[in-house]
Formats: sequence, C-alpha cells, structure tokens
Amino acid sequence: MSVACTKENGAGLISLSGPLTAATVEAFREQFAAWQAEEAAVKNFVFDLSAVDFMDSAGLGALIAALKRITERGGDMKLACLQKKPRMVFEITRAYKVFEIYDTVEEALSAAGE
Amino acid sequence: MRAVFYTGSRQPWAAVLGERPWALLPVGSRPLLTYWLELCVDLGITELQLILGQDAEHIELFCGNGEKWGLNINYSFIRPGDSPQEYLARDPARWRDGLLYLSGALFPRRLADFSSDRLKDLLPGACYTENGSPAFFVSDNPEMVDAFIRNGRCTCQSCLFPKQVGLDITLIHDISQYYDLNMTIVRSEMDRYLSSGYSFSDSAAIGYNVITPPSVSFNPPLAIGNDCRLGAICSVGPDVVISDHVLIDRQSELSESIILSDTYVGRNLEINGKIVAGNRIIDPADGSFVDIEDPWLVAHTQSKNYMRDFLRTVFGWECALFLVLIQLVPFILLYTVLRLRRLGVFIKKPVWGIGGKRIVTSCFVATDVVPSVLLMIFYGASLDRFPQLLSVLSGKLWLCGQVPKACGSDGFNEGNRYFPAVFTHSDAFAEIDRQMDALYYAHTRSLVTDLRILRQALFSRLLEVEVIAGIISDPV
Repeated sequence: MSVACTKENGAGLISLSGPLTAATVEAFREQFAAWQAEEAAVKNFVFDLSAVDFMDSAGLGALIAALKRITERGGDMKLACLQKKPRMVFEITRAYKVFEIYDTVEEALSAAGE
Repeated sequence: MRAVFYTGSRQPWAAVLGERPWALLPVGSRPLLTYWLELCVDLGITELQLILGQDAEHIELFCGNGEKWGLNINYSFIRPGDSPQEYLARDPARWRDGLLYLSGALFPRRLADFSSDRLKDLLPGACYTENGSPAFFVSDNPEMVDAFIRNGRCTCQSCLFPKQVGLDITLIHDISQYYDLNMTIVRSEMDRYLSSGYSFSDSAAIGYNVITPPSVSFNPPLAIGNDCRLGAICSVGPDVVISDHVLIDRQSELSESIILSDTYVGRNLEINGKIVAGNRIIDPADGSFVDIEDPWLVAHTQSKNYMRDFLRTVFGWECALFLVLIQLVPFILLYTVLRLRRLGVFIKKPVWGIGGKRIVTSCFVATDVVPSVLLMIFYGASLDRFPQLLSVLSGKLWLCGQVPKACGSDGFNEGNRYFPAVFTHSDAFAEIDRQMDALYYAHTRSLVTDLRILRQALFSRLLEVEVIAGIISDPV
C-alpha cells in the first residue's frame, strides 16, 4: 500500500495504491495522520481509490475512521474512482450511504472545493 | 426404460461459484439435478445411471440410492476424455428398452403450456443437441436408441422437439445466464415445479426447517431452500433465491440475489443483485467477484474441522474437570441446604447429546420466583450446571457450544452443526436469537470463541445473578 498526499485546489488529494486491508491499514493511517498534522489548514479531502484493487472490512473501517477525523475538524471527505471489487464491499455494508462517491477525481475535487 | 445422466462434464462458468458441482447449483432454490430426477419420475423411469466426474462424492451424497425420488440410482465413471456415448456403447443391450439421456448444465424449463402428461409424447423419440453434442435424448424405440448411441443424435425425422410438449431445454453457458434463469424462475415460473417443503403460494416457496422470527419481512417473489435460518428484522426479497443451509444474520436485506448453499450472511448487510457463494460475492453481469476474508460479513458455514474440534474437546474436558473439582464441596453443601429448605430441585430432561445420541441431563428448577440469597449464590457460582459438567467429563456434552435440544418425536438430523453444551451464547450474551446463535456458533466455533463464552458466561452469571435467580425456567 502506498499513500501519496498532495494539495489540489486547497483540498487534500490522497491517492492510495494497492490493497487496503487489515495488513496495510496501519501504514495508511500513519501516513495520512502525519500529512494531516503537517497540513493542518487543509479541511477537505478527496481520496483517489483508482489504484485500490481490493478492500476488506478493516480497510473500510480505516476510511470510516478517516471520515470521522475529517468531519470532526469541520472538513469534508469525498471518494473518487472506486473500483469494482472495493465497490462490492461498499455496497454490501451500506457504506455507500456514508460516503460521497464520485466517478472521477476532478468531480470529487470540484465538489470538495464548493 | 432407463435413464443416463452425465454430470461429469466441465462447466467453466460454474468455477467462479466455488467448489460446488454445477449439477448441485440451485435453480429456484433447489439443485439443478433435482429437476432432472423429477423429469425421470414424470416419465415413469425408475432405473437411473449417473455418470460422475470431478466432485463425484458431493453428487453421490446428495442423491444417495435415489430412494427419496422413488428411483434406483447406480453410479459410474468414465475416463477423462471419453464421451458418455462410449459408455453407452459398451453395453447397448442395456438401453434397448428405452433411454433418457441428459448431459451438460441444462435446465428442463417448463413453459406455460407444460403438463407432465404431455411428456409421454416425447417417448417415441426426441433429441436436443448443442454444437453437435447431444444434451437431451429420449426414446423407447430400440432402433432409435441404437442409432443415438452410434451417432450421438436422433435419427427420427418425425420426432418431436421438447418444446412441442412445453419443455424448453435451456443450456446454461455463463454466469449471467445462470442468474437470469434463476430470476425468471423465481419471478414467474416456480409454480410449474415441485416445491420443497411447502407448496408454492403467494409467489413464495419456502423449504422445510426454515426458522424465521416474526420480525422478518418477506417481499415475494422468493424461494428459500431447506434448513435455513433468518435473523430478526431481516428483509428477504423481492427476487431472491436462497439455497439450503443458509444463515442470514439479523437486519440484513436481500433482493435480486442468489445465495448458494452453506453460506453465512452477516449482520446489517445489504445484498442486491449479487450471487453469494460462501465468502465470495459475484457480480452476475460479468462474473467478477470479490472474496471476503472477514467471517463477520459473508462466509462459508463450516461443518467440520477436526483439529479445531479436537482442541475444543481437550480444552473443554480439562476445564470441566477443573470446575468440578472446585465446585464439588460447595455444590454438595449448598444443594443439601437448598433441598432442605425446598428452594429448588434437579429434574431429569432427555436431550440430544454429542453425535445426536439421546442423553438425560439434570436441570435445576427453582420452586420460588422470589430470589433468595442461597439461590443467588447457587446460580452465581454456576452450581446449577454441576451435573451437566459431569456429562462433559463423560463425553456427552461440550463445555461451550449450543443450547441442547430437547428430545422430541422427530429424529435427530443436525449432523455436524450440532454442539450441545453446558455453557452457551445464551449464558454469555444478552439479546440473543437462540437458533441464530447456535448456527453462528457452529460457523465460528474455535478455542477462542469457547474461552469468550466461558469467561462471559461465568462472569455474567455472577453479576446478573439476581435476574437469573428470579427466573424459573427450563434451561434446555
């Protein structure tokens, strides 16, 4: 799992790559928390999941935890480019009701900037 | 007249659905093979030869000797690469009285004008081939049977097509076709087939031994197989096919989906437009799937795990011995006092023990609804379970597991999913659904689970002793 954090139009763009599972969530959590601490002014985030080919309930839990942290700080979180297999996990667990999911990063960034 | 069914062919589309042989995949909640067997019965055939291939043991286990259908089933194998025609050609005289031959993943779909009487019109000769290979053949004419065995096709010019008697031979080629067939059957055609358990009415076919709490909401059309459990506040349907031995946990919603046998669906999930096979969720549109490794979401309901159960046996026996040793003196003293003060008594109860053997266990029944200090101590220290601990030592009960079932008039048929025990989820956790927890235990049992139950059971009984002591109940 690799995590690339950049800033686009004032929002944090978090690009994840690889499987987001119990084995990799800790790395994701640490890297995201470290970047969030560095860029405290960034409130809104877009998670680019185009390169996340697999996700289990632990991965989903990590995203929900991230959502909680972000909303607690008054920000907003969008997901973009959810692939087919992770999408199934989102569907069966009804997580799609919790997150705002966009087809492209551009759409998500645009929504985050509004 | 004899029937020959060939289930040994490979069906690549079925591989995604797991280890289950394609002949046992459900169509309208029942295995595909049952429709073949019923076709046999409708044609008045009693002698059936089943030619098996890979996964033969599953099919043999399911069909047995055919007694359930009034058939006499014998089994054969053919060498890999051989065709079933070569098998038929080995002893052509055997089929001279007539032959019904079925091969490949075909579903004998009954059209609106189907009637079983009209099936007999096929007997002079009928054949259906796919890409040059015969999938369906029936004839009671010896010459035609010989010709079929030689050429692999029907030679009669004036013979009927199955469709002429209302039978559409539908061959399943891919996963989306399999899904669509199931949806078509459950939506509008279930009433044309024998329904398991109860008759098809109100667009809902429900098999036998299906446990549904009153809070379950059914939205027909739907078909549910046998030995299924649905948790509280579940919503099932519309367009749902559930096969046998399926466990749907509470608050889950199913629609437009197929749940294959031996599958556990976890709590508060939403399954829509999917096929679930054990821990695999399949998109029927293209066969793409995701395997979920989390047993709390979707998983296989496990029946056997020898090493795990061996460890639980050893652990349970040692723990029971330890509890007996420390409880022996307090039990004798307290029970003597309880008897003298007529506060409670042990009564004998016949239950199904380990392996489905009838055993007699002792259950404590208080004689007063008002909890006394003595009773509270007795319950809190779990001394009311002391005689059952002795049953653990003698190998009749598990230490942790499911609530033992009382012996009724019915026979025992739970097989490897039954773990009658002294301490159960009921003792450990509040707000339980007894049937659901029993199945969930069978699915997730492990040494760790047993430790959790034991710790929680002993601990909670100590804390909630006042509540427990106030209940005069039959613990079995």
